[in-house]
Amino acid sequence: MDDAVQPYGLGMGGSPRRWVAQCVCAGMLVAGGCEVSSRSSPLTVAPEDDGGSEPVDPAALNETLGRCSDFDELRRPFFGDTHVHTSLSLDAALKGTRLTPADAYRFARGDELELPPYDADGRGARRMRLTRPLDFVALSDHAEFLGLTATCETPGAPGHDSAECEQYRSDPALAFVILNALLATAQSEVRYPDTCDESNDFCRAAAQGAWEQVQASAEDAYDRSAACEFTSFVAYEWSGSPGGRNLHRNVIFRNHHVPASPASYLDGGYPERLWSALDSDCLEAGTGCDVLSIPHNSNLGAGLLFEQVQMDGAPFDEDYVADRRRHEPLVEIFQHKSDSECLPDQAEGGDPLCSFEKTPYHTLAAVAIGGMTRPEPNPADYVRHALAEGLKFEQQLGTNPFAFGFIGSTDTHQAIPGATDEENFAGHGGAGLDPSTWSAPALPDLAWSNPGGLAVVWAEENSREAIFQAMRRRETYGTSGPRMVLRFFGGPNYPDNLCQMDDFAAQGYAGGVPMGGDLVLSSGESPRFAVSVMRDPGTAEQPGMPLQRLQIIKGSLVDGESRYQVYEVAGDPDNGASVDTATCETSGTGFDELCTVWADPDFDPAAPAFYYARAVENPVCRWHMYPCNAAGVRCDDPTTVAPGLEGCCDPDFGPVIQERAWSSPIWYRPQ
Amino acid sequence: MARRLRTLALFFLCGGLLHGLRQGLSERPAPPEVTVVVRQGQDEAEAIREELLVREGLGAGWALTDPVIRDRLVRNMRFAEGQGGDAVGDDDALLARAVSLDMHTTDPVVRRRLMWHARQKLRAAIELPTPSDEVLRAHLQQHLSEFQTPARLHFKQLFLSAQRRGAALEADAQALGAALGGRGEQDPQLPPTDPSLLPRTMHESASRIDARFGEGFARQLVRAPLSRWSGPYRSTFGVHFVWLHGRTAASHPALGDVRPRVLRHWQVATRDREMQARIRSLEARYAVRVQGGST
Repeated sequence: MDDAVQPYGLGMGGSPRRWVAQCVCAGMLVAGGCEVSSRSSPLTVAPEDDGGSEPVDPAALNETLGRCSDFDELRRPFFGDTHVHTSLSLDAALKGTRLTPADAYRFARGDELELPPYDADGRGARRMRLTRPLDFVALSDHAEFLGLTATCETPGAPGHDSAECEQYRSDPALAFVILNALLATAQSEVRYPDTCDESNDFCRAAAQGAWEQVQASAEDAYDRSAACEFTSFVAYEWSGSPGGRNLHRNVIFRNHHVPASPASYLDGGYPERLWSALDSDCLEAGTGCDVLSIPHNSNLGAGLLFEQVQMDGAPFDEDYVADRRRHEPLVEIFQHKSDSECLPDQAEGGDPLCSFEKTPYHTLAAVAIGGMTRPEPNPADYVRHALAEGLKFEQQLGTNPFAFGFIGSTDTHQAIPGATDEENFAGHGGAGLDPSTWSAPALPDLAWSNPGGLAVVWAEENSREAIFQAMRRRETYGTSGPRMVLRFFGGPNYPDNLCQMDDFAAQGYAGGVPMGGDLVLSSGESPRFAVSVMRDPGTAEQPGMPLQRLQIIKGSLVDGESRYQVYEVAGDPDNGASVDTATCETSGTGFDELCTVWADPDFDPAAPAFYYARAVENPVCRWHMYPCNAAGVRCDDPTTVAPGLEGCCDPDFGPVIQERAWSSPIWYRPQ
Repeated sequence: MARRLRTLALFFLCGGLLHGLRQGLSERPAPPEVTVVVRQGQDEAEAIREELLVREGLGAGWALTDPVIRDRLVRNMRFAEGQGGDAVGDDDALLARAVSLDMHTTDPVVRRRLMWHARQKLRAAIELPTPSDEVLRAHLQQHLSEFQTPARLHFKQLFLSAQRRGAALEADAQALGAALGGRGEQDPQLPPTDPSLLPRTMHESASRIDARFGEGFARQLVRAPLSRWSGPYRSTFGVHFVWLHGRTAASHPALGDVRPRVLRHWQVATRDREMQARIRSLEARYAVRVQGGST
């Protein structure tokens, strides 16, 4: 992106102070903080808006499967968001987010909220609500700096008068630079700031109070009745990003049994250390705790997220790949900081749909401070490549460390889970535009951002137990925002007319495996895939878009080399559907449903492979076109490009997109 | 003599007290005057509160110490003086010139930041009492809709796809309706319908049903008869015939079932009320003069 047209000057130019502030933005994402995991303290500081916390009585909690009135053994799709930040995340709070975890849950359930900027009465300039509530949410506030905002802004709170809080209040830029400097060192040298040692109570108090609030608000929001209207998960984000290279993971707990405090990046600068902490504090703690972690934004990892060495520099070994597979069944394939699926040249003959929602950056630091744009695209930053690399490791070591199922989410830093509507995008903050400085008619976020996606799980009911099991077995899919319903089965003998039968799902399970499964074939058998997708019904005001096409993407390992192929299996890529970018009116026909049984014409029984489905809607306007059109922007006339609307004419981001859904893969392994 | 002296002493004492009182009264500072300009269409009371919060923020010195405000003012001045975004100037001098131009009281972002500081200060001073169960029970009753489980419909549906049947959909729906007459829910002779990914049965709230079938579908079922086939009902995808098993009424929880939630809800609401009261009470500390607006 050209610095000269950035609406709020996030380029490398500007005064030293401004540059420092930009570093701070990076620091908020890449820096660790003062919370001390695996310690406990009676000192707690709960942000006041949520009113503190009350202990949960575990004996009163029912976490078994089958309590919901809508239990369905053939499973239902539940729509959620597993990546959400509230005012507990320091980077969100510093950009004006006031909404608390309780607010975020209310929003997910359909309540209207007010968004910044706020007036004297605390009323937001914008109002927003989901016309369709979500089924489940995991709030994933950063473990680093967790709760520090409340401590430093609450006179009388333990630590409020500390030198660190004084610095936070008077010059947060400098405070963050200092902390960021800690993270500019090698991963092996990350450590807590000296001020957060054992004697520094305020760090513990800040984290502990916020962590208790996370738990209490999740408990409040969880519907434990038979209606099972809404499910919440206790979660957090482990936010390591050495040198600005993204290593982030969302950590999601199965139930209310969680560690005393979250493990942060500063407890150990490597994912292995996170997994080790999750083992000792959760999986092996004997408390009923269970957990998984979901890496995200490989597109901003500069190769680090799927790096193929252990923390000591040694190549992967059997223990490592088993450990990674056990902890990380899923990957977040799409969110507001772009798509991580693939690059357009990652398929034979090309895959032009991979040009969807790409940042012109490849590290978190570059996102925050500008510059370093247009890096050479690195295939190793994308999930498709990792899936193929995983096949190689499985051959070598017996376990595939990159056997990821897919989910999407928003990564909103405005506490508005599920706010994925292109037409009413309010920005997601975080590394994007500061929402508290927004004013009409400016774009609500930076041009490279987008409204994010959704996580969908096929589960028997809307409960923690059912949804967590679905995530564990990878029976999940991601969308770029719409609520398409997508099913994908693989097996040897599905009949050609399965799509005409009433029992598609029953036969799908009986004759094979669902998305996320490992397909085992007998000698002489070849795989057949049953795939069906239903359009998003939308709402009366905003009907869902018709479907255009359904594809199956295959990755395989042939003679040690990765091959990628894209197959059109249903629909019509040339259906003529289009959108008038001047009005965003759509035209053309499409499909309510697409369904087929497909056999791989290039199947090689000796070649391990993965297959996933991609369902694509008819074209629509990208989010930025709505405010750009409303403001009368014409890119051939610079006088129509008011301040804040420069992104309307950013050549990196075209006016049209095609929303989509990605099923988790099905893996084929030769016997 | 002694009486005269007592009278004289009393005279001087009273005189001194009166003099002191007069001096004290004359030296008490008058409340600071604030002129509030009400923009067209702006609520006057809101405009007053905004201005008073800004004044509080200015009074606490945040205009000169808050880094966000400093950056904003310096950037404004660079723009105003045409130095461009890349110029490296003396921040303190730019800041001083911005203040001399009154930018710290007029820039909307600076004003919002000052208000935020003032609100944080007011909020931090609020201490909530521990509410009794009686108070919480009353609060639960006042906000029952936020704690109740919504009503649900329990039904089975048969589907005719608009995409598959095209122009024949209406006729097919009529035929299906006729064929279903008098048949049971599990009748083995039910006519063939279209497969889909829609759930065959549901027992959910109206919003969940609409999320799957399209907005307005659940509303059609509200008056559907129990325990027999009825329809056709239209969805985004085609038409449906429904066997309604029953309706589950909304449930109203007792305080004991949801006490922690009610307590937190009460704390938020009470704190918000108190916050508004404290902002309103600022008016007593200023002499407010209003310009523009409706009054």
